[in-house]
Amino acid sequence: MSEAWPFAELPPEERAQLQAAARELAKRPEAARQEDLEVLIIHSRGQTFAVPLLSVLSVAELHSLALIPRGPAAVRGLVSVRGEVIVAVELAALAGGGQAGLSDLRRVVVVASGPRRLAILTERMLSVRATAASVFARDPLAAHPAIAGTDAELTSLVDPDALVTEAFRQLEQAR
Amino acid sequence: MSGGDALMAVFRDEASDGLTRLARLLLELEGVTDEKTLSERVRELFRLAHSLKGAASTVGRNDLTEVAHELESCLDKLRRGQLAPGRQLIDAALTAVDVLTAGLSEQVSEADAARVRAALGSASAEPARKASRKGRKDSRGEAPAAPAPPPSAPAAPQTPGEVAFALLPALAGLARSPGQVGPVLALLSALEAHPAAGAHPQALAVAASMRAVLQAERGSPDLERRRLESLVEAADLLQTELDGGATRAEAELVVRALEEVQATAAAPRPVAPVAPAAETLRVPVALLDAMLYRVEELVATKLRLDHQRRTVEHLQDLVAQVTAEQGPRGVEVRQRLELVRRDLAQEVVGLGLLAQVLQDDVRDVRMVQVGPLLEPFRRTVRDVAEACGKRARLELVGEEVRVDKRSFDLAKEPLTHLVRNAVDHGLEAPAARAKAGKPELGTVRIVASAQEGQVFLEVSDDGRGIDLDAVKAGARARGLLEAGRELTEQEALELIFQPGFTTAQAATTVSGRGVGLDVVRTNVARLGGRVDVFTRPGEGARFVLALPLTLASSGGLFVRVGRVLYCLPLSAVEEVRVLEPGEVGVSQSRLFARVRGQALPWAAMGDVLAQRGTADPPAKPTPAVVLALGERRAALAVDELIGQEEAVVKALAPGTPRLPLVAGATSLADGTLVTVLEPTALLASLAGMAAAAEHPSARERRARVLVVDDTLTTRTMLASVLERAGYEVLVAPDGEAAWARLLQERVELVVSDVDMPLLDGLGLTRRLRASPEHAALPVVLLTSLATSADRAKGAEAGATAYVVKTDFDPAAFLQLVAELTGAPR
Repeated sequence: MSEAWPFAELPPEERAQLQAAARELAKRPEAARQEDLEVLIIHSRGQTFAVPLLSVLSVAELHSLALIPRGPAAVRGLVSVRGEVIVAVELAALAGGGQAGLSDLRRVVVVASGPRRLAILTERMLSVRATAASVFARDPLAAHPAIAGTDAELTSLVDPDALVTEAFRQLEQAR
Repeated sequence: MSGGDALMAVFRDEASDGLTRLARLLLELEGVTDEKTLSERVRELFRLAHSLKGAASTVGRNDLTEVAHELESCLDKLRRGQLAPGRQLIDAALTAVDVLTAGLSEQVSEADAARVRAALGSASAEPARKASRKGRKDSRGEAPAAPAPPPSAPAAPQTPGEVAFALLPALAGLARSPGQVGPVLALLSALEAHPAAGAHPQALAVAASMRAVLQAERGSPDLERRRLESLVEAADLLQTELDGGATRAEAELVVRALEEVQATAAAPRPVAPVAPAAETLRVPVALLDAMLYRVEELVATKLRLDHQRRTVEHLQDLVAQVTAEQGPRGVEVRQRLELVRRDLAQEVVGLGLLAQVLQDDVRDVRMVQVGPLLEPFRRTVRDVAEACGKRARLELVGEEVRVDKRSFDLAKEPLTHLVRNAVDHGLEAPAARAKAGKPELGTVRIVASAQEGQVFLEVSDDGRGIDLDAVKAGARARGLLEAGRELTEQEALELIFQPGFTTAQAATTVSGRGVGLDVVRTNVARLGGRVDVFTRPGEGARFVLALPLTLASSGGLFVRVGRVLYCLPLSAVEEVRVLEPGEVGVSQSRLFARVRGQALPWAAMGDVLAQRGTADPPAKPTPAVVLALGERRAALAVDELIGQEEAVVKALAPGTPRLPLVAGATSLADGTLVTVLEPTALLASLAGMAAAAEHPSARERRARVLVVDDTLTTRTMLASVLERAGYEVLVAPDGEAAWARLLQERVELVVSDVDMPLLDGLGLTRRLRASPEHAALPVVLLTSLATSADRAKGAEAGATAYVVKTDFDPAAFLQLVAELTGAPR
């Protein structure tokens, strides 16, 4: 490793983590891509997320958001979709990033984890994409349990079960 | 529909499911070779028959009870290995299932009952012949798949028994080709003509009866299943008889059964005088929930349309101003606009009516009679009484009252608590009852009634009543009541709903669970209901739960707090008013509003929602909402009172964690979603804030708990659980060490083991109770000693609560600790 490496100043532990991440990324092209996963690509606060289509119950326009007093920061409120009142989160905020302005949030993606429902608020929807689960490598730096992995284009694959669990955990903690 | 009809409908549903399962298991039984599976299936079969018998007996259907009893007895023998699951037994059991199934809609005839008895009796006498008939079983089993044999072709029977055996495949052929009775008649002729048949007069009598039935059947396009089964049974009996095993009684029963079916062959069977079952369809509750959601959306759409109508009216006013000077053209514009308004108004009215009817219909579908839902409480009363060494029975009144199943499910827990309390705390022990001139068997009564959109569930007992002096003493000891303050009876009764309230008598199974009446009241209030209590010394206590008939509320008060709109259920709003600055003042570091001569706790709703410290009194007139739930009232300042609106409160989607301040959400006419606040939680939150303001020291010092246990593991575990929950924990390895610490340190609670060296938990508790300084200190005994006698010793020593280690549940334990220390939960 050359001393000119831009992260040479980092502590050894963080440098090792980055090296591990780099090795993971370097492996990806060699794997034959088998498109076994359909994902909905959504945008939140400058980040791109892939939500497995199988877990998506519905996509709707965001008309109105009711606030939850004392709710955690990532839980933006309640939305009504097809008659159901569902807790709504912002992915970027849940993953530790900032919040978008309410007026920027245009769409609601309702995901299911067993009988549980959670609404993801998003600024815009990009597309539905067929991809391979294997391209989303577990990022050793990703601290958030709801992110199952990241691909070469820095799209984060959402684990819907972990996402719902994490959002509800934060809600319960905020009581 | 009367209560009896409703119970019968429940029975029919349940029995029908059970019989379907029975039939399926019986049919599968033949294919089971694995012993373990076989044993499991047989056990389940027995259990199903047993349950069916019990249920039939409960609804007074003795005819079904008898048949189910026959089936149960036979399956019991099978379960005990006294019978093998042969074909004959399975057929006989299926016959019983069929008779029972038919019996759900009409009375079981004596002939049918006899037929079942004969079939099951014959099958139960099977084991001796089992081995010899194995081969027959196989060939009989294959018969239905084979083409119907010609009358004389394959049989070539050599003995009367073989002729009889050939009857079975012939009857199977008859089942496939009704009316083609020739082959069977030919075999019967062969049997009757056989030289050896003369030795079997019973067999000949049965054969003659079969012939009579078949001749009546000749050419008939359809063969009633019941008749075919009788013929099969008769053929079975023929074999048995010709093998030398049937009794005269069995033969006579079969002959009678055949005569019966023959008699009914010509005329249709009269319908027995049993009330016809209303046609019902089972629908998953989730589907009804979904329908209700959709209907509520429809109501919301109607509200939005109405909003549009008002917009058009406003537009009309504007247009009228603009077009006033424009002659006929202006008039035409105004007329057209008026037509649009009228059409829209009519549509709104029509849609409103439709939505209302549909909403009522869907809600009505969700309404069930409360009787069957209350039935399980009989078991609760019986079990709790047994655990307390008492005798008790449950009386249900008003079983026909209909409630929203969802409301009832949510109210079940508080109701269970009240029923348990009634037995545990309300009823006296048998000896005390006898002494008081009461029957030893105590009565707990649940009375259901409905009035003006509310359902009332009263739980009463004929026990000792609530000892108001003990209540007041307990409240004083807990610091809930100032010394010397006089209370009315109702005020004293209200004390039992105070968080942390308990009496020394409460150290029993129920109180050991760490749930107080304050939790009951809170949970009922969360449903939009309330709990009231009444008592008469020596005659018992009565708790009345008033619940909304359905959960969807129809009225809300909309307020603005900051820039956010909130909705408050109107049921909790006593009044709204604008408070002048002079009407809000400070007393003992707390803010109060003077409302109609009363001082009510006051806070800005924004502060309560954000859990911020109470602000200064307002300097200008402030709109306020007076919330009232039972005895608890408070005035909350808002930024704007928007007004009262029809509101459909939607609960949060299933599986969502409970949000303490949120009851649900509702849509405004323009589609804006508004959070519906939970009044109970608002009041509780305000009370918590007020308490913190009143006692600043409480915020600085955490409640302190002394854990006394001689095992390090338990001490460590308890300390860890308590410390994680924010308590300060002191520990001691035995009662003496604990006592020494208590003389030096102040604690809010003692959690002690019982069995310890030097001074045990009971001794420590007694010593504390005898000490003026520590008499009121709550003591929780946490022990592995679990018998009623052990609990009684704990109560006798003066323990506040008794928790058995094997039942230890950290969450329930912490709830109990919070109650006893007065800490916020």
